Amino acid sequence: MNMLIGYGAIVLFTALVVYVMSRGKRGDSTMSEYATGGRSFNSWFGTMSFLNTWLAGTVFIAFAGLTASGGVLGMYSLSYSLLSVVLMFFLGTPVNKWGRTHDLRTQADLLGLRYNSRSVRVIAAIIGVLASVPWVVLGMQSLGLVFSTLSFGQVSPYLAVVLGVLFIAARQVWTVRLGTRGLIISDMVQGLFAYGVGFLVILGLLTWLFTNGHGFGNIAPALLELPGPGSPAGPLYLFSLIFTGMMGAWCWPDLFVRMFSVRTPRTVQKSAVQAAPILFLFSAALTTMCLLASSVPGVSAAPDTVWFIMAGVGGTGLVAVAGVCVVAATMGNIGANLQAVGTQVVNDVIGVRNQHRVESSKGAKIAVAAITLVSAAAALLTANQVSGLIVIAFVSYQAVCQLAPTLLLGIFWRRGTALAANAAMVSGILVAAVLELMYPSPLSIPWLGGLTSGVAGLIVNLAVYVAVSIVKPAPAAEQERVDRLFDDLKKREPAALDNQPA
Amino acid sequence: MSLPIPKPRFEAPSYQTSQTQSRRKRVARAIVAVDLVILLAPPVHWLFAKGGNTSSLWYFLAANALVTLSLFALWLTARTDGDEKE
Repeated sequence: MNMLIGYGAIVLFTALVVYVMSRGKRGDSTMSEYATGGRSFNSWFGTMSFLNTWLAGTVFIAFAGLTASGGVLGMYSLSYSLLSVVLMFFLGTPVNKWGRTHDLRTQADLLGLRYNSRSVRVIAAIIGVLASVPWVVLGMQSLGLVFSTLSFGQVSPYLAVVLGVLFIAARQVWTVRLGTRGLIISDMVQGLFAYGVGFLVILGLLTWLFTNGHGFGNIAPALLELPGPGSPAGPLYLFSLIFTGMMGAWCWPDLFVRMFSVRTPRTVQKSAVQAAPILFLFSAALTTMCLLASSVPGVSAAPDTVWFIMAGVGGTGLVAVAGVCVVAATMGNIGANLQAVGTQVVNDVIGVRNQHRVESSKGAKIAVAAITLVSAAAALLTANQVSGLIVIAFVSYQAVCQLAPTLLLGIFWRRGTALAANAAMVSGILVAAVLELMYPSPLSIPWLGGLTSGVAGLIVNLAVYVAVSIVKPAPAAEQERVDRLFDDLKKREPAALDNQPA
Repeated sequence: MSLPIPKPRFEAPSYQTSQTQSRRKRVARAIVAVDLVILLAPPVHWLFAKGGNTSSLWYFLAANALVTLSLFALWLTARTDGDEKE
């Protein structure tokens, strides 16, 4: 009976999401429509699609577990998330405006425009794709914990992973068919449940913790320490974690394209302003709850299950709701990832190789379906080797954040060149990858004061970018083209854009 | 003694707008600088590094609450920056 309630809740919620998605269906037959949802969404859809892409199901599992076992350090994710929102506020104008004016569909597309370079576009696209796939695979596998918990002991952990992977792969049928428009509409439903209902559950659990002897005074002192001078991780470790997270955020192709999907630059800014308090309240409440739960029996033995252990105090129904929260958050992130990766492969790798602008959405749909199948197969084949995959995922995070100087300086600084971008990306990735393999755990490099490999790579990356741009500036004609791009940002757009229907 | 020639009416607002915009940009930059310092600067982290009390937890909550509020301030600074309404 318990299993029926648990699995039934997932099925019912999925049916609701599919129903809402299908109601919003429009013929997105062109590549631009498929990739950007017609650039037609208002700020609330922008807010929720950002949150549902950014706050994956892992916030309830791995990040919650990190706080329950590692203590207050786990709150670093809140800090870098909010700094990413600040960045979003400033990226809104150039990204959204260039996107609309030049019909950009992907992050790599924007870089190709800014640097007028096929190589920059292809390298950025390949980095984005290679870095995203391990996270898709891990995201699929993470649903195993949900299916295992909601079976209430009826399904083995391995079978639960298989069920989770098959479930999320089947859900992508609608991602493939409906593209970005379907994703953003489903993000609203999924986000309301994951962070709205999820927040209410957290408030209830916080109340239970405070009234059952698990207040602030019961947290182990060691869990309240941060790395500082003389600590094993090094004095710069916390800085590195937050800095890498902030710089890496907009390097993810799935998150970046959200800025193309809303109506105007002002809509992106409004989405950011609306996202900040939701992000703060939800994440602060969740991490505080996990920190307090560290004193609950059983949590220290299995910190990744803290969300479900705590939900257990409310009985089967609350565990089912908790499971649906994880599923809802995971659906948004995996769908966005697969859609962005598939589109990027077709638009920026195959399209550039064949030297033609892809106009039909058919290729992107095939690519999204193919990547879903490959990721699902990889998730099933590596279901018993998760630790190895986590290492690859960490390396890929350090690699993807090496796009940051090329992306952010390219958007905010006129003098960066294609040569500088290529040299910077390649050198940054090489440095980060070598250091990551040399210092895999606990990620910090002792002789650099606790800097992570990603930050060390970023320092080299940034130095190369600035040095090459200054030493070998762009030819006059190219600099004039870039100046025109930046000057166009100061022009107003026609007011007609403001009144487009969603 | 003659009175100074008044500026044409169409010049004054433009000059004022430009001044206002540049002041707003300075304010926006200052807000971002403060956000970066309170969340990223290692010396700020070290102030709360010692365990044993909940100051590190309150640091994260208060600093991130401030950054959240700063987004509203940024919204106000950008209000008349010349871009179209949503």
